[in-house]
Amino acid sequence: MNIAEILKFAIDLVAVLLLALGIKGLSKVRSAREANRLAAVAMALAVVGLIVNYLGTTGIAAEAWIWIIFGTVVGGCLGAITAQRVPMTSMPETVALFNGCGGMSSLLVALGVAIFPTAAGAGEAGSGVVEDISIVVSVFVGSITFSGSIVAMAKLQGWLSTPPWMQSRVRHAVNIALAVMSLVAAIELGRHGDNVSALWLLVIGSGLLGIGVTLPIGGADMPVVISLLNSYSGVAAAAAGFVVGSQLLIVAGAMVGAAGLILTQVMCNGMNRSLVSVLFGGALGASAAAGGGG
Amino acid sequence: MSFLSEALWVLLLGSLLGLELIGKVPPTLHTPLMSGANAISGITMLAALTLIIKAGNNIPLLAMGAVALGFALFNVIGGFLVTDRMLAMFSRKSSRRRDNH
Repeated sequence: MNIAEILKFAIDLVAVLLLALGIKGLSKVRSAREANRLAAVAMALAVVGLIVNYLGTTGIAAEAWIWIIFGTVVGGCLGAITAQRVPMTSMPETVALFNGCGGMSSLLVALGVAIFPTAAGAGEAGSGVVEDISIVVSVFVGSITFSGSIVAMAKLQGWLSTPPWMQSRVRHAVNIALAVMSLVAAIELGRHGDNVSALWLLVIGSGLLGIGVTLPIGGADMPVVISLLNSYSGVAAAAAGFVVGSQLLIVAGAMVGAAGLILTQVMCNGMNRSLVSVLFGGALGASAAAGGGG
Repeated sequence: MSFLSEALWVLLLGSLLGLELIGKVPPTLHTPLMSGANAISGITMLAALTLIIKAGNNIPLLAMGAVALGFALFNVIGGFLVTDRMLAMFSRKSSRRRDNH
C-alpha cells in the first residue's frame, strides 16, 4: 500500500461516516438542511479520494481527463439548471427523473464492463462468476429503475395515461412473461458471460418490466413507487460497486437501498396502505383497500 | 475470493445500517429525504469514473463512461440542489413563524 492508497482508504471511511450521518440528519426537521450539505460534501470527498488513488498508483491519462471533464460539465450543468428551473409543485416528478438517471448510470457502467471485458479490467472482483452475477444484477435493477422512473415522471406530469388493458388482469400475465424473459436472459448470461444477445434481451426485458409494473399504478400512490424505485437505484449502485470492485460504492448503495425501503414502508403506513396493494392492486386494489380500511 | 467475502460483509453491514438509520420520519420530510437519498444513490458516478480511468484507448468505452458519468452527475448535483431548495423553503417558513411570535 502506498501513500495514495492509504489516503484514499482514510477518505473513504470519512465519506461513509458523513453519508450515514447525512441520511440520519435528513430524517429530522432541525438538522435536515445541514445534513443534506454534509452528504454533498461526503460525495465530493469520495470523488477526491478516487482521483487521488488513481493519480498515486496508475495515473490518469490525458484522454481520460477530457472525457471526465466533458461528462462532468454536461451532466452537472444540466442537473443544476433542472434543479433551479423546476417548479416547487412538481418535486416528486423531479426526484423520479433524477432517480431514473442514476439507474441509467449504473446500467451503462455494467454494460460497458460486460461489452468490453478486457478493456475495463475491473479485475478486483476476481473470479468471472462474481463479475457476471453483479453485471446481471446491475443491468436488471438499473434498467427497471430507469424505465420505471421515467414512466412515473410522465404519469405525474400527465404526459401518459394508463391504457385500459393495463388495468385489467392481463397485465399480470404480461409482467410475468417479461420477468421470465429477463430470468432466462440472466441465467444465460450467468453461464456465458460474453453472450451479447442475452445481454440485450435482459436490458429490453427488464426495461419493459419496469414500464409494465409502474404504468398501472395510480397517481396518488406514485410517491411511494418513486421511493421504492429510489431504493432500487441504491441496489443498482451497490451492484455496480461489485462490478468495479469498490467497497465505498457497495456500502453507500446498500445504505440507500435499505433506507429507501424503510422510507417506502413509512410512506405506505402514512397513507394507510400496504406496499403489496400499492404495487399489485392498481385500481382494483385501491377499492379493495378502501373497503377493507373503512 | 478475499474481495468477495469482504464485499459481502460490507454489503450486509451497510444494509443493516441503512435499516437502522431512519426511525421516525415526520411526513413533511418524506419528499426531501427521498430526494436526498436519491442524490446519494448517484454515488454510482464513482463507478463511471473508474470505468473511464481504466478504459485506456478504447473510444466507445470512454464515451460510454462519459455518458454514465453525465447521467450520474445529473442525479447527484440536481438531487442535492433540489433537496436544498425544498429544505430552504421549509426553514424560511419556520423562521417566519418564529418572527411572528
